[in-house]
Amino acid sequence: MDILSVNNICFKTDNKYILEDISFSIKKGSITALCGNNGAGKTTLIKVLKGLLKVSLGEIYINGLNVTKKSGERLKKIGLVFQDPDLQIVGETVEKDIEFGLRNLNLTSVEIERKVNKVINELKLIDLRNRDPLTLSGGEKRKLILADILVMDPDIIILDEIFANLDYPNVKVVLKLIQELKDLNQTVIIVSHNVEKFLFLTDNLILLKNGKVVYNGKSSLSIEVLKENEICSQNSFFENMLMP
Amino acid sequence: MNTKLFHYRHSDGLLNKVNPVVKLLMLIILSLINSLLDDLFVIVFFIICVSAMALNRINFLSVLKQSVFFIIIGVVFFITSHSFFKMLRYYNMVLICIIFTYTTSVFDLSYSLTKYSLLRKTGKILSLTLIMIPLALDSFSQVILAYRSRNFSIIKHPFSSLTFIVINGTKKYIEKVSSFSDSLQSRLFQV
Repeated sequence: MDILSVNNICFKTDNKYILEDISFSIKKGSITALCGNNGAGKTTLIKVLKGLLKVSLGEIYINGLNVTKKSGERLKKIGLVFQDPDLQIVGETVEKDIEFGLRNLNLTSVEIERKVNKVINELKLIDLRNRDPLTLSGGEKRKLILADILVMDPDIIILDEIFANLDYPNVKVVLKLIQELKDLNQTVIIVSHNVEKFLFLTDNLILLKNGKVVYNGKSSLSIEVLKENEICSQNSFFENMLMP
Repeated sequence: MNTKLFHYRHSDGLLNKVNPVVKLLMLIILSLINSLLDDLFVIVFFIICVSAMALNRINFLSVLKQSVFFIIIGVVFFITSHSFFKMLRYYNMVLICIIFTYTTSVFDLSYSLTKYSLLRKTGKILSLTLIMIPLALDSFSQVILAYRSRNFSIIKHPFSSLTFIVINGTKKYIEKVSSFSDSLQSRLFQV
């Protein structure tokens, strides 16, 4: 069953279409790469999906329910990890930062504690629990903001440029995290202009160009399209990984 | 230990466990007592403040190192008023604020306030304000660093550099606030 269906959505600002006639659907438990060069409309699309921007035209369905006009519903059901972790961390300790979203849901203290403990155990953040988030490494910060989102039980998780500004060891940490999300049967959309690091983990790929979908299909069949659109180099190293 | 002044530190100390609203009320009451006390009792008050810090394992020497600005202001008080006790009253006030901020999480305080219907909005606005302060400081320090890295002398051109810093710092701040507000909204924060 499709967890997310997007039908012909458009987004217009200053009489200019930033997104035009976007349609795709995503299955529950799948990992989808949403890619495109700078200015393709990736960030606008995820902001529209999340409910931070209003849809000009078209419809969005989550679990078969039309949520186009219900941005509050989309805010709850879609978890978004932003590009810059420093602008997403608000708590004075790791634990308080994870609690932040739950407190906005007006849950009881007992329930908040239970959910926080669960996500801390799942993402192995026990040692960092009382640390000041600003003292964490890049990979640890990404782990924390993922915990911030996971704790709110979203149906879909969107990771926006999650590999930006990370060194190789931290890229490995994030790749492992995505693999763990896959094992937990979470539906994940990874947004990036550079797919080489993670394409082997994904099931499907959506390629955006000038606000339009130019490819929507299996990741394993996307290499030629990616090369044509200069998303990856002609002799890309991940080609072998995707070969059946 | 590398700590920042007026910044919450997690610890198992006694004061960390006290209800934040009670601590806020105590802060107000103690500030009033400090300004109304007889001169000699001000010394006792100072000793109580330092003892409270020790009880809560706050490193007094580290605090002292980071409080140079406040120490200088205190000395200015002493020079201009010729009163040792006025200076001590001022230091007591700074110490009470340091103890309060070291042991009280902004979020715990704001969420404790939101439990009282009359203070709900105040609590949310308080947390929002306190989140925005580091963002502003960060934006302006980034702009100053960018100028200094290009050998731009603030002393040689004080007026033009001040204009550049204010305009560009504000621009950067607005950009950051915009991203930050998206992130708060996505975690269902509402005032």
